[in-house]
Amino acid sequence: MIEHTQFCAAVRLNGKLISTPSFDTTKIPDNAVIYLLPLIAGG
Amino acid sequence: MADFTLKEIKSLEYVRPEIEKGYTDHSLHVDLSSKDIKINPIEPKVKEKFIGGKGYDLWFMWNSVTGKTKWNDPENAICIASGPLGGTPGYPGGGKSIVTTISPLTGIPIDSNVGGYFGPYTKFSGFDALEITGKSDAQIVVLIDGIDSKIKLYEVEGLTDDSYTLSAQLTEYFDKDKPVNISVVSTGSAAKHTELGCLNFTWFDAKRKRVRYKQAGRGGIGTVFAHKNIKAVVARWGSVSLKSNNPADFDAMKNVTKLHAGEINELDPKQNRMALVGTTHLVPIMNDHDCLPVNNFKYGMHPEAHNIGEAVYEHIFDKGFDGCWRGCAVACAHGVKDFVPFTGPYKGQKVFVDGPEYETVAGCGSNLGVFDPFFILEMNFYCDTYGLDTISIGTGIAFVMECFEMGLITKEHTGGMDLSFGNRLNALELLHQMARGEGFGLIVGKGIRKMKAIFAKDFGADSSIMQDIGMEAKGLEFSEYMTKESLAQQGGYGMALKGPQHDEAWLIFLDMVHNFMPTFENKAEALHWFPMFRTWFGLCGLCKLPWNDIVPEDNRQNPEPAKVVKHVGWYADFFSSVTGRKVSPDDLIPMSEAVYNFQRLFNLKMGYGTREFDTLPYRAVGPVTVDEYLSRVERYDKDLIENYKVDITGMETADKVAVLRKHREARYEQLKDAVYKRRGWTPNGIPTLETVKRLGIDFPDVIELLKANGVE
Repeated sequence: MIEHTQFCAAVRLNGKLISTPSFDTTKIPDNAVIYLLPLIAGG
Repeated sequence: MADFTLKEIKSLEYVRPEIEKGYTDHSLHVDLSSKDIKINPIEPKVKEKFIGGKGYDLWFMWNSVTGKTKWNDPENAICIASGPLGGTPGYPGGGKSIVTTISPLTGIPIDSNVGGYFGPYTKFSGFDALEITGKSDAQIVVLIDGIDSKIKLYEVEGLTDDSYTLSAQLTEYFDKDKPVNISVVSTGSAAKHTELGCLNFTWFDAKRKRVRYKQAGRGGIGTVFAHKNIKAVVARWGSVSLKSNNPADFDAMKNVTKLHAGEINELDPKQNRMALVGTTHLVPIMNDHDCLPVNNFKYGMHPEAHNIGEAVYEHIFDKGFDGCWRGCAVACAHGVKDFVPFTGPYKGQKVFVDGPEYETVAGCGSNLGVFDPFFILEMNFYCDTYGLDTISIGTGIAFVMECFEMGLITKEHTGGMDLSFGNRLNALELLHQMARGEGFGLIVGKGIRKMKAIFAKDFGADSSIMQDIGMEAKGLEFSEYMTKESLAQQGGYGMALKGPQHDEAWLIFLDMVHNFMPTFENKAEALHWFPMFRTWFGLCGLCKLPWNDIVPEDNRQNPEPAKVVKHVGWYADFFSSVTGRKVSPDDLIPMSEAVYNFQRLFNLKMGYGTREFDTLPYRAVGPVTVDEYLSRVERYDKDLIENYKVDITGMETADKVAVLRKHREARYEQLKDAVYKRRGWTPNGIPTLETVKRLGIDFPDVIELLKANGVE
C-alpha cells in the first residue's frame, strides 16, 4: 500500500507512470522505486 | 543566403533608459502607418496598478482602441511586454513575454504567454513594453537594437514567408558574429490567409547552433501581425546576468533564485521529468483518467494513446538542455532533429521540429483520431513554419472531421477530400491549403465559429448539432482537456476572459479526481483564487510551470496543498527582492485582481463581457450523443440517480441524454452565479462599482462604461 497518494494523480513505479485508476490493481515489486506525481493543478 | 533586401526607411537613435529594480519605466510605440517611433515614460500610477507584462499590454490597448475597433483596424495594437521579473537568468521560467491584441476570432483582447528571448531583450534595450499600431503599405521589419541604441524600420523585399527560414536569415543578418544576441518575432504564410495565425518567438540555441522557437499561439495574433504587413520584429541585446534587472536586493534575489532552481533540479527527475519529456507525460495520465480528447472531445481515452506519450517522445526528442530562457531549470522546450516530412514543401528534407508539447499532441493527434507520433511532428512543424496555432488547428480540424462523419459536410464541400477521423494526409493537406491560400483549408482557417455559420448557410448543415459539438467559446477553440466530468473546469474554460484556454484555471484533477471542491462555493473560491494567481505570472514575465508542476515533497502537509504555498512565498520574495516593493503572499492576489477585472471590463467595452458570452457548447458539459453517453454509461447513470434523483428504470438512452443535459446545464448556470458573486460581479457578470473602486480601477471611462451597462 502506497501512502500519501491522496494528492497524486499518478506515481512513477520504477520510472513507469501509473495513474490512480490503476493503483488498486498494480503489483509493486520488491525494492521498487516509487515517486509520487503531485499533478494537482498542472496544465 | 536567400536573396532579400532590407531598405532602412526610419532610424531613431535614443538614450537607453537604464533598468532600475526590474523596470525601465519607458515604453516604445511604433506607428506603422505614419512610421512614427515614440519613446514614452510610463507613469508611476500605471506601474503601481498594472505591474507590467499583460497589465501594461492591456492598459496600452485600452487607450488605443475604441469599443468599435475590429481586429483589422489600424488602431488595433499588438503589445508585447515581459515584466519586472522577466529576464532573470536562472530563475525557473524567468524569461516570458506576454502578447496581446484584439483577436480576429473573438473581437476581445487575447493574451498569450510565450518563451524565447524577445521580451527580456526588449526590456534590457530600454522598454518595458512595445506597442505597435497602424498598418504598413510595404512589408516591414522593426529592429530594436539595444546594443547600438537605435530603433529602425526597414522595408523588405524577397524575404520568405516561411517563419523558420525567415527567423534564421534575420538572425544571421542582424548579428552574424553573435547570433545569441538576436530574438525574432515573426509569423508564416498561413497567417495572412486564416484567422488562426500565431507568432514565433526565437532564441539562438548555442549548442545546436540553430534558431529555436516558442509560440504565442492563441487567438490569431499572427493574423493581426500579418495584416499590419509586419514581416518581423527583431530585438538585439548583449550580455545578461543576475544584475541585468538591477534588483533592489541582489542577495535576496540570488538566494530565492538558488532555492527555487535547486528544488527543481532535485525534484523534476522524480516527478514529471519535464527536462526530459516536456509536457508529454500528461498524455498517458490524461488518457488513464478519461480526459484525453479523442475524436473531437467525444471520448476521453483510446487504447493507442500510449503511442503518443512520454514513453515514445522521450526517445525521439533530441537530448540536451532545452530552456526557452537562459538557465531555466525546468528546461521543457524540447525538439526533434533530422525529422523528414512526408508532405509539403519540405517533403524529403531533414528539418528540426520545436516540440511537440502536450497540447499539440492531443490537438493534432488524439483529437483527430491519430496516434502516430511522427504525424504529430509533421503537423507541429508545418503549423509553426506556416504560423498557425496548433491548438485551434487541432480542435478546428477535429470539428470538421466529426461534421464529415455525421454527413453535415461531404466531399462535395471539402474539394473531394475524405476528412473522416484518422485521415492524416488530408489533415496535412488542409494546412498546406491554408499556407497557399486556397481550397477548403481557407474555410477551416476561419475557426469553428465562422465554420458553423458557413456550413449552415452554404452547405445546409444543422446548426443545433454544430453548436453542441463545435468546441469553441467566445469564438476561441478549446485547448485540449476534457471538461465533461469536472464542473469546476467547465467554469475554468467558460468563464476564462479570453476564451477556453487552460492557463487561467486547470482544476480537473482537484475537482474530478480529488474531489477537493464539492460545493458551488468551493468551486467558486477556486475559480477566484486560481485565475487570479495564474494572472500574476503574466504580469511579471514568468512561466507558471515552476509553481505547481514541480512541488515540494512536504507539500501535502500544508493545509492548502493545491496552492503550493511554499512557492507562492518564494514568488513574493522574488518580487520584493527585484522591485523593492515589499509584498507578502497575500498581496499577490489583489495585484492580479485589478488587472483581471480590468480585462473583464475591456471585454465589456468591446461589446462582450457579460453572462451570455460565458456560454459553453454542450459537449463541454455532458454527452451530446447516445454513443457518447454509452461510452461512460455507469458514470452518467450514477449522476442521474445519485445527484439528480432521477428514476432511470426503463428509460431509453436518448431520454437519459436529454434529462442529464437539462440538469447539467442548470448546474453550470448555478456555478456562474456563485463565481460572479465571489468575484464581486453582478449576476450578469459585470464587475460592480464597489469592486472597481476597491481595486482602484474606477477610472472615469470605466465608470462611464459601467453606467452605460446599467451598473451604477
